[in-house]
Amino acid sequence: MAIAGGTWRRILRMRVVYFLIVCVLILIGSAYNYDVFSMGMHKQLMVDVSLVLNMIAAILIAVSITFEIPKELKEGVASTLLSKPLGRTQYLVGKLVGIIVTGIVITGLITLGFVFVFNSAFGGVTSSMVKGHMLIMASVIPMSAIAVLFSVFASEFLAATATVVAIWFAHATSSMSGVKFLYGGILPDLNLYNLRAEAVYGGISSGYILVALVWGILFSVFATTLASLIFSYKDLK
Amino acid sequence: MKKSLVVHILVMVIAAAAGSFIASTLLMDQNKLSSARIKVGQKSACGFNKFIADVQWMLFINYCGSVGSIKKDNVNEVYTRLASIIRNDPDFEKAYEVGTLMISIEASEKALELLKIGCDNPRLSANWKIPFLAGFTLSRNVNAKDLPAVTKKLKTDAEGFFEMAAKRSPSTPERYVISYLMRAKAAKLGKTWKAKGSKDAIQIVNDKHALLCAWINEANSGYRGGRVEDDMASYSIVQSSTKDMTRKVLSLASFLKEEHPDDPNIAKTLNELKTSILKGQNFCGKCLTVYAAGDKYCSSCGEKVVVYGACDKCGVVKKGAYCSECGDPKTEKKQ
Repeated sequence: MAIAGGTWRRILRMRVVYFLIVCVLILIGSAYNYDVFSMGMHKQLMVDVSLVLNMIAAILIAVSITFEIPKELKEGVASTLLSKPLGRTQYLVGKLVGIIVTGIVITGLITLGFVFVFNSAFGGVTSSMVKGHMLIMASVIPMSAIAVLFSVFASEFLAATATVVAIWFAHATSSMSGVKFLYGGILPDLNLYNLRAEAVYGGISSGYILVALVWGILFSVFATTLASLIFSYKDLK
Repeated sequence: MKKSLVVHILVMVIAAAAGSFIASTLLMDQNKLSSARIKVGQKSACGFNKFIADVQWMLFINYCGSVGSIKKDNVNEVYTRLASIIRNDPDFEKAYEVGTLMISIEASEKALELLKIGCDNPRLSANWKIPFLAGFTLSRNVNAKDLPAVTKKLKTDAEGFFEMAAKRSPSTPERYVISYLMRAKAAKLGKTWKAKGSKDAIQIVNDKHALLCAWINEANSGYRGGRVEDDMASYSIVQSSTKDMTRKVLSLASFLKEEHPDDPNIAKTLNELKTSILKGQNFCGKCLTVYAAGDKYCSSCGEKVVVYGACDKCGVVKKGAYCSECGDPKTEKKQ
């Protein structure tokens, strides 16, 4: 918990994070002015913009851990931490929980900001819109797990690139849905969190979010265990 | 083998198995939520397809504004942009309603192709404008020689689209939807018409005549009003949404009688009308307007009509078995 607390406190203490959140909310609000340019589709556009920016924020937060873990390993901070009565798995779980909490807080703030902006502009935020954002908040869990997995064996730049590429391809794995165990078990399907069209047109159930959350946790368990296994064989400075 | 390695592998196997099972369930739920999703290129854009569709829509509007009008040299570009929007967001109603209308003259078949996607999308099953536009484009903008091939490709015809539009209407369909549906039914009749239960075929003289025949067919269909669930097979959206059907048929018949007084085919059709829809009703022999009991002249054309429902003795309209004026019990005059 100390490692998790350290991770999320460090990121949330950065002023730039809040500056970016404000920028995101300004961009969401600016969609209101696109009424003529979009032939009256500006309401839908505002929801879409908010979902896309929230997703980008979630990806960036997940990627941020790929800079932290390799840096700590390189500078020997991790070795100092691990010299205390702390297992390598606990170290990784702490980092994962920390980044997940950070991600949920930041995407949650964007969601709240969107609700406020949308209500001020049009009024009547639907539950599907909020649920669409909640799914993005939940997607932070598997994305962070992917980032932690790459962080344990790759350098900062390589881990970040690999994470972004993996997240990109994780939206296309549904084509492998026929391959049991591999699909959803080893290969993540982040498209399960993509109900952005449904967030606009309606139809997302609370049960779906809950099951998606459970899947995210299960995949994180798999990815973190794999990361821990790799990490256990790694020589630390 | 180390104990921790076994534990790690065991945890991974259990998590992967459970994760795979849940992911498959979620995927099925997701596909149920939007069956169109599986057909689109959702995967290629990291799930940003919906947003990309919005951006493409704005660029599409910008492009259409820059070209002034849709002509042969730019219609393909407009179609490509529109198809891309629909691929990224198959639920984008405005792209169907506005976009396809733009290309419906220059590239009617391509417009129909996109409209068909909209008609088949279960998430747009409440939208009646899309099938109406499809029916309109099919009946107005497609060449007669290409029509059979296009209809075969779409697996439905203009009548099917108009009927879909009428059935999807939230309450009573707009009058023009029913009007177009009846015109499509009339166009399907061809050159001859055979009334229900009749052996003789009547030559169709013109479009109005065909329309009258279609209306007679509709009036003679089995549906007698009421709830759809009660009699699905004989349910007619035209009958259930046309309040003054007899008046509509009569005004059309009256017009044809006036325009073609000596045409034997029109006369045969009118006879058919009298023995089917107007059976048991009293109507003016000249203009076919239905008149009320006790009327001596037609209120529409002033022609003398055969009085019915009046007392033989005093001429007052009878309300029951006996005349309320003179108490005469005799039977009333009949036409």
